[in-house]
Amino acid sequence: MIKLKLLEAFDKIKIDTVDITNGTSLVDGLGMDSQELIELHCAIESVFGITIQSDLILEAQTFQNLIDILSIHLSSCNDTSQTVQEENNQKQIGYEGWLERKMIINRPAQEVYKALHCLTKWVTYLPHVKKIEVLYDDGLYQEFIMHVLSTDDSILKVRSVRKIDASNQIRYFQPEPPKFLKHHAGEWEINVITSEQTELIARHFWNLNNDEDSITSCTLGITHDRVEKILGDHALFAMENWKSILEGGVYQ
Amino acid sequence: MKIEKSVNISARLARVYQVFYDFEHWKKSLSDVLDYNLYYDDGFHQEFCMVVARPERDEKIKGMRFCEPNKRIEIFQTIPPPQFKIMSGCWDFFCDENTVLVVARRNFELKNSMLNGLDAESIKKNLAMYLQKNLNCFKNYIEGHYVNYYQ
Repeated sequence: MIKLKLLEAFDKIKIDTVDITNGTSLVDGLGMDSQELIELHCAIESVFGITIQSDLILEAQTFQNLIDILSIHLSSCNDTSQTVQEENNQKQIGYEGWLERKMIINRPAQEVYKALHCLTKWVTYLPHVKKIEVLYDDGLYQEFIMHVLSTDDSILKVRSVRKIDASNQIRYFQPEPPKFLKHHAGEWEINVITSEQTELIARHFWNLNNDEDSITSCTLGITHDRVEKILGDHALFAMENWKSILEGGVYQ
Repeated sequence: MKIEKSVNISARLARVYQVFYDFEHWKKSLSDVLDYNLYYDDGFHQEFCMVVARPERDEKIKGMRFCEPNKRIEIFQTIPPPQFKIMSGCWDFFCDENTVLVVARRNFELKNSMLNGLDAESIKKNLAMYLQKNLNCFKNYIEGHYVNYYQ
């Protein structure tokens, strides 16, 4: 993981990171001078086994900046013809946690895609979805608020942003994820097996919320394993719903 | 309507991408960018608001971006500019040794056929000119030639 390797780089140049948080300033918080920043650049190249422009490291203000810079840099590739697997590898590098769940649905891929695409119909077919407010929709990008029935019978409002580009993927992210997450994104992948059979894949990507000034995943006792269980169960619940609806022939 | 402009930048791909990705660099390279707020950024998705100087009044640009590191940044404005129904686009990054070709595309739709006395083709021409100007500013910033086109 990027964070652990970064801490290793700091350790290499004998910078004390006992109380470090993502928001810690390299200069004011860790007391680093310009020489130490240069040494950090070398240590990062050594620990990560990469070559990276020094100004990218020298311009970093906080520990989080370094994580962000390295997340992007580690996924750099001169070959622009990436496969879906390579793109997923990038996301796995950029996020602390991720999961994947798969399901076979015995219906054509275009039907599965249509069901996931037409979010205004979700209220009709998905019992836990009580309302969809579409804030923006230009046919390619969408922003909407989904009102869902939570396990304690309260209504949870989830704002999502999606990209629907008629490929076999629907990408989304939540600009306001649950409090225990700093970041949450995901995607649906719809693969043709046969003319009447489709593989539906749900992926979730996340970073835990470790910000000092908010309710953190630590405060709530949330771990990566717990997040994987919560999101994984939700993904399976959603896919089982769609399988039942589509194979039951009720979707119009 | 669609427009497309491009520029070649002599720098490493990761550096070029970083400048387009990080709004702090936008403030340094585009003098009409006054301020920005980044509400969400996970390295692949962003929600932002940017304030840009315009002749009549400052304009707030609210939007989302889908980012594929070192490959593409897509953008759409959740609140399009006044008189526009849609404003979206992307930057694609193509690397060739030490040069990066940045291709910028914009897709827009007007609410009416005329805007401030200009027809759609004139607006398209103006937007294309503005798009190229911005690309040139990024090029100069990245290559180290600080020329302020907006003075």
